[in-house]
This record gives sequence, C-alpha cells and structure tokens, in this order.
Amino acid sequence: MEMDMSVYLGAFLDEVDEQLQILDEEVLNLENDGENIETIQKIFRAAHTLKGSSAAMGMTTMKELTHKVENVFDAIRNHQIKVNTQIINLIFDSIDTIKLFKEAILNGNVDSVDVTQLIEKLEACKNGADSGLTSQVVPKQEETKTASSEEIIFPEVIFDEYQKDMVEKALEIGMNVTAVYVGLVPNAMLKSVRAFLINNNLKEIGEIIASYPSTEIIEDENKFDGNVVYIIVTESKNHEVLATLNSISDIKSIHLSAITSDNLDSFCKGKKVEIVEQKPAEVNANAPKKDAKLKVNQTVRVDVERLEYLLNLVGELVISQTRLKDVGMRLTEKYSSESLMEDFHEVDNQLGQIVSELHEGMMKTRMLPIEQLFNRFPRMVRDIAQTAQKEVNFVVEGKETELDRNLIDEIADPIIHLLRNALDHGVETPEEREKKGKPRQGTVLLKAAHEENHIVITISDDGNGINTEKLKQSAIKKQQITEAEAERLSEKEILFLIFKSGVSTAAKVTDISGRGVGMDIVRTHIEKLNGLIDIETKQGEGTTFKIKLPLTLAIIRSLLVKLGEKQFAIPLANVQEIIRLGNHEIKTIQNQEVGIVRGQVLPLIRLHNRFNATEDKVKNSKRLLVVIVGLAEKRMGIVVDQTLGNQEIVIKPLGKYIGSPKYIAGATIMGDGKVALILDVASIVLEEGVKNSIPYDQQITMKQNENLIGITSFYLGDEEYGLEIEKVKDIITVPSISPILNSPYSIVGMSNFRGKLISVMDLRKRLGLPIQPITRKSRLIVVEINNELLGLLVDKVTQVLKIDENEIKEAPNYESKVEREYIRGIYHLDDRLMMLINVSQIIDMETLLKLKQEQVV
Amino acid sequence: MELFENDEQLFGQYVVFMIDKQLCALSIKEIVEIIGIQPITEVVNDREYITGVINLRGSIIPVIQLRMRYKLPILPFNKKSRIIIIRSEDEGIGLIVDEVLMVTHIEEEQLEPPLEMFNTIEKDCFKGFAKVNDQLIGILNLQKVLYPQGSEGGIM
Repeated sequence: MEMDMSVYLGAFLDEVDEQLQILDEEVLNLENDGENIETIQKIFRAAHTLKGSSAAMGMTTMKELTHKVENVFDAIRNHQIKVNTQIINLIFDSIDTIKLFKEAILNGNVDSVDVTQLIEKLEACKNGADSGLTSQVVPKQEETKTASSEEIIFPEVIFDEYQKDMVEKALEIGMNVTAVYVGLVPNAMLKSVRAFLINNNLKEIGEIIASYPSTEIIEDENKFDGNVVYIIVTESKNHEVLATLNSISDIKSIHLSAITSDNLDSFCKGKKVEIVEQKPAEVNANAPKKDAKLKVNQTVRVDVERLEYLLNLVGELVISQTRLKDVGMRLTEKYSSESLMEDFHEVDNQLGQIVSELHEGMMKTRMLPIEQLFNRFPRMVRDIAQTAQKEVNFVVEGKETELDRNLIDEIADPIIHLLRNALDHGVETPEEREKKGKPRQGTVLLKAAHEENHIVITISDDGNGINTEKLKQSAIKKQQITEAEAERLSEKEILFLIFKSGVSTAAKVTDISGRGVGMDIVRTHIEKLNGLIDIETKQGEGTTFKIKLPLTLAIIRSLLVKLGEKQFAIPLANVQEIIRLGNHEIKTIQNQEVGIVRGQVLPLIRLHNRFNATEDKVKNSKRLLVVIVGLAEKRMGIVVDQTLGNQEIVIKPLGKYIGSPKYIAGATIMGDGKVALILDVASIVLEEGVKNSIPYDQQITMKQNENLIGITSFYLGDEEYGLEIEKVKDIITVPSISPILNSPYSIVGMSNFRGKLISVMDLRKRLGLPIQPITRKSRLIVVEINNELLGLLVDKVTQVLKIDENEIKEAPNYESKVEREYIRGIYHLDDRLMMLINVSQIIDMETLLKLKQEQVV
Repeated sequence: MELFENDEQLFGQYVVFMIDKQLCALSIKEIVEIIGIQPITEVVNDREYITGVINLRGSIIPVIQLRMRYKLPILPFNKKSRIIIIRSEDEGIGLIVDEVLMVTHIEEEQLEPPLEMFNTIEKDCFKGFAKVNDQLIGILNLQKVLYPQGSEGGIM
C-alpha cells in the first residue's frame, strides 16, 4: 500500500502546488474584495480539493487542516461570517502550513508539522459563525461518502391516466422514457435550488412529464428532503442523462430506470422498479475539483527527465544537421557541376527548417509562463510591506511571458532580493511620501517582456532612489575601494558598487534586508545565467533594475571565431558588436592595450597565449578584428583572427574529470565533428577587468541613449545594404523559383518556403540595378511584412551586426544609384557605408496578396 | 602478497599496450573500447597531461597523453597510435598510447610486486608486474594514473 501511494506522490504534490497557487492568488483577491462570491467559491473548492487528495494520500493531519479551512469558507459563502483581516491572516497561516506539509512530505517527516493551534483557531473562527447564527452545523462531507444508496427513500412514483397516456405515446414513437432518481447529500444547502438546477438540466435534453414529490414541495426548502424523481421523455441515452447532471454539486446518487411498456403498469401502481444504472458516489467529490481546474489549460504531465532526454536528442539532431550542411558545402565545392547537388541542398534546407522548428517546439515544451514565479510575489510583497509599514501598490505585468523552466528557478532569488530592496529601501513610509508630495501608496512594478531572443525583467519603484554618495562611503568603509579610487568613479560606476559584497546604503539592518549581501547574490546569479543587469536611479524619484536573460540555457546562439587556427564559440548573448580597429586606433594606457571606439576606450584582451594559439596573424595585421563582449555593465574587446558566423550550438559540459579550465564554459560539436570550446565571457570579463585600471567613465559601457538594432547586411554588386533583423524571418539558399511573368514590384516568381508559397522579389530589379544570374553566393532573405512572407533575392549575405539607431543618417541624393525612397538611411561602418532598406516601401503588400491569390487560382 | 588478495579483477584478460619502451596492461574490464587517433581539441588546463577533448559519437571525452603524464618525450602520432577509452566515475576518459599490442591472459602466479628498478614510469602507478613470453608487463593502477595526487576520486 505504501509503495502504491508513492507512485501518486508526484501527482499529489503537483496538485498541492496548483491549489496552493490558486489559494495564494485568491486570498489576495479576497483581501481586496471580501464579498466576491466567485473568489470565496474558488478558495472553498481549492481547500476542498486539497482535503480530498490529502485524505486519499493518507495525510490525516493535512486533511484535518484543509477540512477546517474548507469549513471556514463554507461559513463565509453561506454568509455566516464575514471576511476580516484576522481571517485572512489565519488563511495565510494555513497556506504556509500546507507549504510546510509539502516540504515535510518531501523530507519524509510529515509528522513534524504541528497544526493543533491553527486548527483551534480555525475552529474558533468557524464557531464564531455558528454561535452568531442559528444555522446548521457544517457537515463533514466524508460521512456522506460512506452513506449507501439503500438508505435513501425516494417518493413513490404513481402515474395518473394522463401521464400514462403520454408515456405510451412516447414509447410508440421510439423515445426513451426514464425515471431519474436523484438523491442530494442529506445536509446540502439550498436543496430546492439544486432540484431546480436538475430540472433545468434535464429540460435541455428532454421533456419532464412528472416529478415526485410535486413541484410545490420541492420548492419549499423546509418540506423538501432532497430526494426527487423526474420522469423524462428523451432521445438521449442513460450516460448522456448522467452527464447533464454531473455539473451539479452536492448530488449524492443518481439512479436511472427505463420505463417500458412492460413495466409501465407497475409504475402506475406505485411500485419502485429495479435500478438500472448507478452513478458512483465519488462523482460528487470530483465535481468541485473539476471546476477548480477549469482555468488551467489542458495538459499532460510529463517527467522532466523524459523531456530532457528528447531535448538532448533534438540537440544531437541539430548537430547532425549542421554537419550535413557542412558536408554538403564541401561536396558542392568538389562537384559544382553536379546537378544532384541542387537537390541535395533543397533537401538539406527542408531538413534544416524542420529541425529548427522541431527544436523550437521542443524548447517550448520547456517553456513555462513566468506567471508561475510571479504569482508568488504578491503575497511576499504584501507581507514585507506590512512588516516594513509601507503602503505599496504592487503591479505585475507580462505574466504570460514564457521562459525556460530552469531559468525560472534560477531567476527567483534575484527577483526576491530586488523586490525586497525596493520595498525596504526604495519605497518610503507613507508619512515621508506625503511630506515629499508623493501619493501615500508607493508603486512597485515587476514586469517581464520579450526582446528579440532575450527576456527582460524589470523591477522598478517610485521610491527614494539610490544615494550614490552613501554608497560610496559604504564601499570605502568596507574597504572595497580606496578614497582615491572613489574620486575617480563615475556615477554609474558608483551605482554598480551596490553589487559588491557588504556594501549597503541601509542605515540599519532589518530582517528583510540591509546586510549588503543580497545584491552580491543577485549579480552572481545573473552572471551565471549569462545575463546582463542595468540600474537606473534618480534621487527622490525611484530606481529601476533591468535584467536581460537569454531565453534558454541548453542550446544557444553563438558567434564562431578563430584564434590562430583554433575555433571558439562566444555566446551571442554576450556579443555586443564586431569591429575592426586600425593600428592608429590602438593605444596603450597604463600597460593595458585599448582600442578607441567612437571616442571611448575599450580594453582589449588577447587570448592567443592563453589558449596556445599562434598569434602571427594578429601580430602582423594592420587592422585588428575585435569582438566586443559585454557582461552586466562591463564591455571588453576580444582580439580574434576571424569570425566564422553565427551558429546554434548545444552546450556540452567538459565533464568533471577535466574540471573547469579557466575561461572555458563548455564545449560543443561542430559541423565537421570537431570539438570547439565555448568561451566563458563572464570569467574573462571579470578577471581581465580586474587587471585594467582605466577610469570607468572613459570606457565603453552601456550607453544610456544608445538604441541598438540588429541588422542583416547583404550585397548587391559592390554596394552593401542592411535590413532590420526584426523583419527577417530566415536566410536560405535560393530554392527553385517558378517564374511569373509581368508581375509588378519585380516579383520574379514563387517559391516553397516551409510548405508555404511565397513570392520572390529580385531586389536588384526592384532597386533598378542591372540584373544578374543567380550564383552560389546568392541568397533569399525571407522577410515578414504585415504577417506576409516575401523572399528577397540578393547577391550575398555578409553579416549580422548591431548598430545604434541614433547614428543612422539621412541618405543624401547623390549617394547611390538606387532610388531614394527605398532607402531609410545610411550608416557609417568604420570603412564603408551601408544603406538601410526601407522594407515597407519596396512593396505594397496588398497588391502582393492579390497577386498570390491569382496565382493560386 | 597481501596486495593482490580479494582483487579478482587483477586476473584474467588484459590489454597490453606500449608507452615509450614500457609494456603496460589494463584489465579488459576497465576498458570500454579502443579507437584510432581522433582530432583533439586542446583544452588548456592546470594538468598539462590532459591534452584536450575529443568527440566520441556526440559525447565530449577528455584525453590523457600518457607520455606527457610520465614526462616522456612527446612524439607525433603515427599509424599505431591509439586512444584507449576507459570509464571512471561514470565518465569516459581516453588514454593515448603508442601502440596496442595484444590481449593476453595473466595468471595470479605470474604477478610480482613493483620493482625498484623501474624508474621510467612512477612505480606508484603499477599494481604489479607479470612476465609473459619473457617480457615484463606492468599492470597499471588506473586511479593512480588518473589522479597522481591521489586525493581526488576513487577508493584505492
């Protein structure tokens, strides 16, 4: 028996979690609106479900507790007691205790949780209701479960002539006539109402020709005993009749008897006929549970391990596919004249699409709405605000934002710390706020949103802001920095001192925060997740923390680079920009090699020696290729020989034998089957960052006004063009194009893209450039405009880069052969110009749609 | 000969291979497979004898250059070079050897404790020696090979 139960333990704990969340949420609602019947019902149902399942699992104490909670809410929904703070706190205590139970179950010491006091309090709370009102004692529902149907005495069914006639006629035309015996739970509330509901539901599937007892008695709550028989004429089968009654609560039993011409006479004499079908009594217990789950999407619970296994396989598939692509490329080089190669590439492309969608889909199975996490906070915020005596309006936005379940676990702590800080140090007391002319109630915002391939979590308050002067003093006192150093620091750099251990602006340490270790933890956590964090603060107006995280951990997009002859992958999340620096732009300041980028100093790191790579190429080169990486607020340039492009990679650990070599985050398998190492940008920036002593304000940091946008750059002839990456759906080798003649907007044909027909535009033709045949370097850039896909034919795609939107200049007239209206602006890449295409100008999508329809017809 | 008592694993089939001029052997039970030289990605780390990692059917496996482990001169790989994959603590590890010679049966009686005269390779690394066809074969103590300091991993 013990063993059998353990099988269900997982499911049980999941259910407890689910119900606890409902409780947490709804009790908070109740605090705002104590009269809301729906809320009270939900809480009641959640408590009821918990009671049922804990009883089933044999957790008697937990059942006892949830039962008492259920009782209290039963009293509330029957208006015997009113919701007050005391009750709410009591319920919160109960929720906490249930959480303790959960922990205890996991640790195997269920008996350690003591509930006697709590139960007494709940009891007292409910008894207050009983003494105040002369209502019935709320019954234990378990009793009803054990009661058997034999005890129910149904009223006698006696047909009169008229009814007999109706039954006979109905039977003649082949309808079913059924006697429905319904027994309500003996102490159910509002029996008449339930009978009325039963009546209504039955009416939906057939005609009621009689009811026993008579309607008058049913409608009289005092006379009606809860047992009723309906005679219905219906086309429905027995199980359908049962189904219509299932949604009504407090039904103890339902019996159906078919009336046929054979037994009609006995009905007329008033004899009870044998029971044909019996509805199991548990249906009643399940009914409220079903209701409580209604809001949850239909799901299948799957073991995480199984999911991980599948994900691993998909990871392998991604690798194999990349390898296939690589082999294909090499084959093409060898057999460029072989026409089969074209087929090969087409299949390869198709496979690539499927694999990437499969991967995406798989990742989505690991994605959970952040709601799960965010729902924990209102309660926490309420408690902290109460302890700290603050009045706070807690706003949560973007609950539906999805991210990897591992990330959800990892990000919880940082958010808790930041919220605590916002409440404890940020938001002022109501009195202080009034003095400053702010509303008494402070606002704390917690928001999640997607931004490209990242998720951004914002935590902001409209409180006091961070006092940088105090922060500086605290850091000096804790000997994190010397006074001389402090003088050199910029505002922003001082602000980031907050992440150093032991630094705190809090005048006193409370049990909520102020010890100065919290922010240190926040930073470590976020760095571990490859994330970035930014702070903005204004004295007297508030503070905003922004955490930027990659969407997932297992498979990442990365930039492949070469150091000497060796390949390395840099997580794209950390890559800010790729630049080339001329000799004159490289200086040495205080023994640190730096690059001058847009007037600012960028510390350069050469990793060749570290990784035993030959440095010859970068030593003799006149222009250095530099990958600017960022971690939290820091920016640094890694000198590389060559960038090889972006690739999705599966992170594989190096294993524990080899340990964690410096600057290496893991390894991945490349297209050619070789292993490439993944650079650990976090440790590189941190370690190398310590060495450099360049004043912070001269270094490149996250610029406040910088508005970086991603650009895909490509060539048409010798001119380089750019397209906002947001609009780009995919870049593919040119598939076969079925030509269309004389179509507008330089549409040259249609192609198959992931099973969809898309129009292909020759961008050369559209921009009025001479037309050229498709070459091996030609690509189709698939863009999305107003939810429609369009393929743009270009000569070659070069790179993906980030540019500052503010730096985009208006296109002068003489700059290009291309008509100006199609050009959004130009951007100066250090040695060349890039023209940004105005996608929405190059085509009128409506015309395109019409065109497509014509083609299909 | 207390050393060998209750150590069934010592007796039976052994894979004999060559490092420099020394014949070494590992019990066949300790070996997962033997493969040819693969492209090795160098991983710079504190233990220079762990030269890098290889891709073994999708798994990343560290490889130890046994010559480096015993501070012997490093020679370029040739046709005879092999990687012996062993398992330690649920993890595959590759050992690069000069040449794999044979699989042989070694009986308990053939075993002798390590001799002082062997100084080419740390004597600690051997569980014992056996004489087969007039050649002296050293039975490697895998744990000592993998963890020279002895502190990490495994019960000796």
